[in-house]
Order: sequence, then structure tokens, then C-alpha cells
Amino acid sequence: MNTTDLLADLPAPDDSEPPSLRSDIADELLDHLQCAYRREVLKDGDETAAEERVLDRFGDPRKLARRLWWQAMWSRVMGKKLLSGLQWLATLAVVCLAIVVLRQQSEILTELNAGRAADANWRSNLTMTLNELRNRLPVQTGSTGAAMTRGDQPTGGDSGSALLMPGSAAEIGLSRAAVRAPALTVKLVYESADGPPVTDLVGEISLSGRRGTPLNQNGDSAAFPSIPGAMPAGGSFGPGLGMAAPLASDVGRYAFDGLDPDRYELQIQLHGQTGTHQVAIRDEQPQELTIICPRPRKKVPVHVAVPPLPGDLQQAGFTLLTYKIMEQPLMLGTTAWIPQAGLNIHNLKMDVATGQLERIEGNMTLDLRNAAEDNRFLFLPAGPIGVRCELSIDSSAATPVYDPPPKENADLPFATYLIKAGENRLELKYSEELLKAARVQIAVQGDSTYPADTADYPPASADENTLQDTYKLSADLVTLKLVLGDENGPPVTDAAVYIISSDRTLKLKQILPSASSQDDPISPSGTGVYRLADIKPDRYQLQIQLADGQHLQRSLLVRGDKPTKLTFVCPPPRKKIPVLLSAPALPEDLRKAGVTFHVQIWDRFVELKDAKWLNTGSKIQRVIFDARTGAVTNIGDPGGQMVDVSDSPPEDRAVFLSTGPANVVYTINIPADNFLIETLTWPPEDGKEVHQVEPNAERWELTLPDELLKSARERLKHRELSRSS
Amino acid sequence: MMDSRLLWGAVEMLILEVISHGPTYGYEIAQTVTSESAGYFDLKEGSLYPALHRLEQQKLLTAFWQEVDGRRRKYYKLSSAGQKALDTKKHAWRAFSKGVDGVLGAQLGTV
Repeated sequence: MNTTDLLADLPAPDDSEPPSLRSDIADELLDHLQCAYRREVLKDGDETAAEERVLDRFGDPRKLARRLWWQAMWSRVMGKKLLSGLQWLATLAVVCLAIVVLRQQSEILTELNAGRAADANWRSNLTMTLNELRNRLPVQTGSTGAAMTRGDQPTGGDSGSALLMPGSAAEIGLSRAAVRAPALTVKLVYESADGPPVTDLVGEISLSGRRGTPLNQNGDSAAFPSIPGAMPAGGSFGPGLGMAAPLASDVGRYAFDGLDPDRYELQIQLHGQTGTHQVAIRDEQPQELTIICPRPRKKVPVHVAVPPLPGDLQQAGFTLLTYKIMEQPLMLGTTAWIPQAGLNIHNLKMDVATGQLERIEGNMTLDLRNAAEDNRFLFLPAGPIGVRCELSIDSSAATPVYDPPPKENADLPFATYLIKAGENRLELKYSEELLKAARVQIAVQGDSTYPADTADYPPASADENTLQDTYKLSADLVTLKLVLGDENGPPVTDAAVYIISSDRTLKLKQILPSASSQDDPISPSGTGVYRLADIKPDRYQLQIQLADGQHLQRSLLVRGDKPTKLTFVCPPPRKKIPVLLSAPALPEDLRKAGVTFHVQIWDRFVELKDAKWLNTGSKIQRVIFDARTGAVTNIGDPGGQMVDVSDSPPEDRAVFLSTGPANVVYTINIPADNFLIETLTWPPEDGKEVHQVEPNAERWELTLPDELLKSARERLKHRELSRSS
Repeated sequence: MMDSRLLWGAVEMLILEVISHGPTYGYEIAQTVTSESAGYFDLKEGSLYPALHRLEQQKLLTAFWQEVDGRRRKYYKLSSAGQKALDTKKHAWRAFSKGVDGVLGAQLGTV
């Protein structure tokens, strides 16, 4: 059964399903089936029967896969259904509401039309009455008639004209608005509060998202142009409102009118930069702001130079040196000016030995290793830039050390430099804090001048001020010592050690020998001491992988109150060697009954100090013998192809076995009726036949167990009795 | 064979107990329960895996994957919430067991 078969009954995937859910279910169940199958095969060597037994016990794996899938997806599927039900209800509610509103609108429209009809009727009657009055009174006598009809209308003058002039009041209102002072006036100046006015505004000045019309100081302030495409929004926004207009009487001043008391954000776009300023309109009193604006921010070619890294850090392997150059907003007064193209970050890779710039990584990556000296520069905008140096022992940059934040500006995690327009060289340096942090990292991770016994860490001679904080962070160090054969054996320097938690795998670093111990004849490449710092106290799984494929897994408790230190005795390497197998011929009575035999051999774990070292990748080998001569005839994997060696010379029929302990299972095959084969195995289910394959072993003479031969004879006898009866 | 209603309440406790000794996987859990109970409990896969996934959803277990012999194997380990739940279940079970033993002992004593 494979993954596809196992997942055949699952519904079609959709977006709400976690992407790995199906493969996780399949892998878990297939792993279980494989474990069960292997165990069952060992019982009697019959793969078909083993598969049947596994499936009989397991049931239909597809049903279980489907059940686990539903279990994982239940809440999501139900949530989706609930959501779609709610959406349906919401749609229904909106439709009902729309019907009610339409009905009400229809009623209002009907009433309005009726009102208009009555009004027209009334106007018509009134006009007729007036005409009749004019006809009756050809000479003007006073305003009594008008006063009787519209008591609130202005009196005096021609009463008929007064009644027919609805536009007059609006015109009076407009003239009043035109003379009112603007709510906010913004004065734009260059360089300082009393600097020259900005007369070349080519861009936009806007308030709180209301787009203003791009204007310059030559615009006409008397006529407020309307906002193109803008829709009136309520009483506070309409033509001539909420936008900037230049005041012709004062160069560089821009006005906003019609602003209700509120908080606003003033945005000025000028020379490719955007300045943002917060404004509060408190009352009707006009306000005036002065905004200091930048001149165009030009890019300057800057050569970056740094001294070579101190020798001890180079020797310790600090090969990656990155300077991060971060462009900064320009602060003028309380207004931050940001380039409209954004603020770039440049990662500079420097040669630690020469301090030369080798590579620039940013929007565009530049390799300058072969560039001429005068071509090793980068363009930076004039103004402030942030600079931070990062050092790392290796290119994986697992635990880089950084320049600490400058004390004078703790809000920014980097030092700030000012690039001036005429400047073309940036001299960088390593801070003392950075160099100390790098040296502490060497002490923690690899310098063998610090003792492996972390109880003595930090050494008394170390700079306490530097190391104390690091020690606190690293109190829960894990230190493992691997030795070969016994506790006094040589160090194992070619192992890989991992600590596995639920979310990640951490590799322990081996402490490298210091310069003083490089002539150590035992461990020229390492000390056999593997160490990890900064790990949280918890239970982990420890995995040690030796170079020859042997591995050990066990749980590991990392305590918070003291360092974890363990010594593991590792087994000697296991090598594959050719071994000539032979077995005695089967007794004649069994041979005549058609009985054959084979063995299955696989690597057994090596047990040292209660630790079991398994051999990764070891496979079961099946070896079939000639029942008549006891010579090997076939060799192969039980699940794969068997190689027929019956025609090979005896010395070529060797089986490759790993040195060390091996498990052996003997199997006798008894031909039964209906072309079936009955198998008997030894040792019994829980027993183990262990054979030690010595490094110089050339031959292995197997002995068929008496118990197995006896069982085979009993089985044949029982079958004979059954037939005769 | 034990009454299935009694067994059902104990399954999760047995699983949590086995996992409390260190990270392990489904097949090993089933084998451990069978061998430790001398064959009295036989956890079928159809009960074991839904229970494991339920305990994982309840955050009583956490899981991680590891490659073994070219296959991915899912390991389970006890979370701190799982440890608390196990302690509670064990306490309740012992109280229950003690109570039942007391009653049965008294009954047997009168015969």
C-alpha cells in the first residue's frame, strides 16, 4: 500500500486544509504498517502471511486515514459551514432591508410629488391673484399685499422682485466667506525658520488625505479653484474647501480653509521627498505653521573604509563581516522627510584581512572583488545614514554579534553618520563592545583555552564586565564528550551531534583545539567535546551520529540551574566484510520430504553503558542454502531481488556483514498441500540468536538448531497422521 | 476481557503515561502498552491514532517528525499541560481504584 492508496477515500482538498495534513497522516500510518510488517516477518519469514496478519489487525488503513482527516478538519469544515450560513443570513437581511428602504423611498416620493403639485397649484393661484391685483391697481400703493403673503421676506422695494430673487442670499453668503481668514496657513521655507521661502513647490501640499491642487506661488488666491473630480462630502467639504491655495500677497504661504476642529496630517511633497507634519485645528482661530523644507537630496559616491579585523578574531574564523548601511529620514524641525522612492538598506561585505569593500547587496548586488580601487564606492543620499557592523564566525550567521545601540541614541539600534554633499569617504571602525562580544562568543563556542567543565566558566581571568551577562544567558550550556571504546579512550572527533525539539534541530559545535594543542597526536581535528549555548531548559531528544552510520537517540534533560555535561562511550566503527557462510546438509528424512531452509541476518545494535547504538541503513539479508550440501545458493533482501550464486565458485558466495553483533533467524520451509509452504522459525518470537562478527572473520559455520529440526519432524508426522486418518 | 467502558477512560491515561517516559511513536506506544500490561491491554490502531491526534489537538501532546530508515516518523512528547493532565488522571484513577478495592475487600471479608 502506498500513499495514494491510503488517501484514496479522502475528499478533494480545498484551501482550508493544511498543506501537509494528508502526507502527515499517510506517513504516520505507513510507518506504523512498516514497523508491524517487519516484526511479523521476523516471526516466520513469510512475507505474504506477515502482510495479512498486519492488515487483519490494523483493519482498513484507508478508513483510519479518513477518520484522522475528519478529526483534523472537523472544526474547519464546521466553521466554514457556519460562516457560509451566516453569510446567507446576512445577505437575506440586506435584501429585506433594501426592500423596506425602497418601499419607504417610494412613499416619500409620492408624498413629495403630491406636495410639489399642491405647491405648483398654490403658486399658480397666487400668480393669478397678483395679476388680477395688478390689473385692478395699475398705480403702486404700498407693500401691504406682499407683507400679508410672505411676512419673513425683506420688505421695501418692489415686492414682486423680492419674491423672485432666491439667489441674492447665496451671493451675500459667498461674499462673507471670501473675506473670512483661512483656518490654516502654511509657510514653507528652506533650511531654517527664517530661511528663504519655498517658491518652487512643484508637487503637492495636502491635508489629511484631501488632495490639494498642485500650486505654485503664482496662482490666483482670489478665486479658489475647485478640486478636480472631488465630490462634495457633507457641509464641510465642497468647492474651494479643504485645499491649499497660495496667498499672492505673501510669497511661499499656502492656505487651507473650511477646516472643522480636528487633528489633521499635513503632507508636503517636494523634490522627491515627502514631509509629514501633525496639525490640530482647535477652534475657529486661524493658525499659521512654518515648515522647514529640504533642498533636493542628492546622492553622493562614498568610499567606505574599515581597518583590518584584529588578528585573534580572524584566527578564530570570523570570516563574514557585514556593514549594514541604512538610509535615514531627514529630520528638519519636527518634520520627517522621507524619499518617495523609500529608504534603502545596503549590506556591505568587507574583506576582514584588508578591510576593503568586496560586495554590495541591496536593490542591486555588486561584486567588487575585482574592481579597481577607485571604483569601490556606493552611492548614498546626502544626509543621515545608520551604520551597524555585524560579525559572524561562519557564513550561516547562526549567532552574529552586532554593534550595540549607541548610548546617546538608544531608540536606534545603530550609529548615525551624516553624509555631506562634498564628502566622499566614510571611515568606519569597530566598537570596543563589538570586539568584546566577538571574543565572548569564541569563549562560549569553541576556544579550548576555556575548560570544558562549564562549572568553571567564566574563567577567573576573564573580563567580568564583559562575560557576566553572557554567562547568565548561557548557564544552561550542553556539553557532551564523546570517547571511543571506554571512558579513557581517544576522543571521537568526526561525529555529528544534534538536539531536537518540537520545532527545530540544533547542531552542537565541536570545540576545536587551540594553537597550543595543535600538535596533539590524538585529536588533530577536534577535541571530541561538543557544546551548545543559549538553549532553553526543557526535555529534548539527543541524537549522536557517528561517521560510520551508527547512531544513538535518547532523551536529554537540560536544566536551568546548572550546565548539562555528559560523556558518551562510542562503539568502534563497524565495517562491512565478506564472510563465507556454510551450514550442514539437512538430514535425509527432511530432505526427502522436500524441506528447505534459509536464514535472515541483520545488524544488531551495540550496547555500551546502557546506550543502544543502532546502525543506520542496515538491512535484513536473506541467505538460502542448498539442503543437500549446505552451500549458499541465493543472497538478497527479503523485500527485493535475490541473487542466484549457485553457479559461482565457493569463494565468491561470500555475504557482506557488518562487524559487531548480528541477529540471526533460522527458517525451515515445509511444502504443504495446495502449493503452500509452511514455515517454522527459530529462535521463538521473543528470543534472539546473536552472533559476533569479528573484524578478521572469514567464515561462519551455521548450525541448524535441534529444536527446529525436531519441530519440522513433528509437523511432518502430524501431517502424515492427518492424511491417513 | 475488561469492560470496554472502563477501558475507554483509561486509554488516554495509558498513552500519556507511556509518552511521559520520553518521545515515542505510535507503533512503539502500542507495543509498550501491550508488553507492560502483559498482554492485558491491546491498543488497536483504530483507537490509538485518533486518541493521539485528539490529545495533540488538546495540546496535551506535541509532535515532531524525524527521518528513520528513509521514512518520516512522527514522534509525540508530553507537553507541560499533558503532564498536569496525566497527574490528575492518575490521582483520580488511584482514588477510584482505592475506593473499589475498599468496597470489594469489605464484601470479600464478610463472605
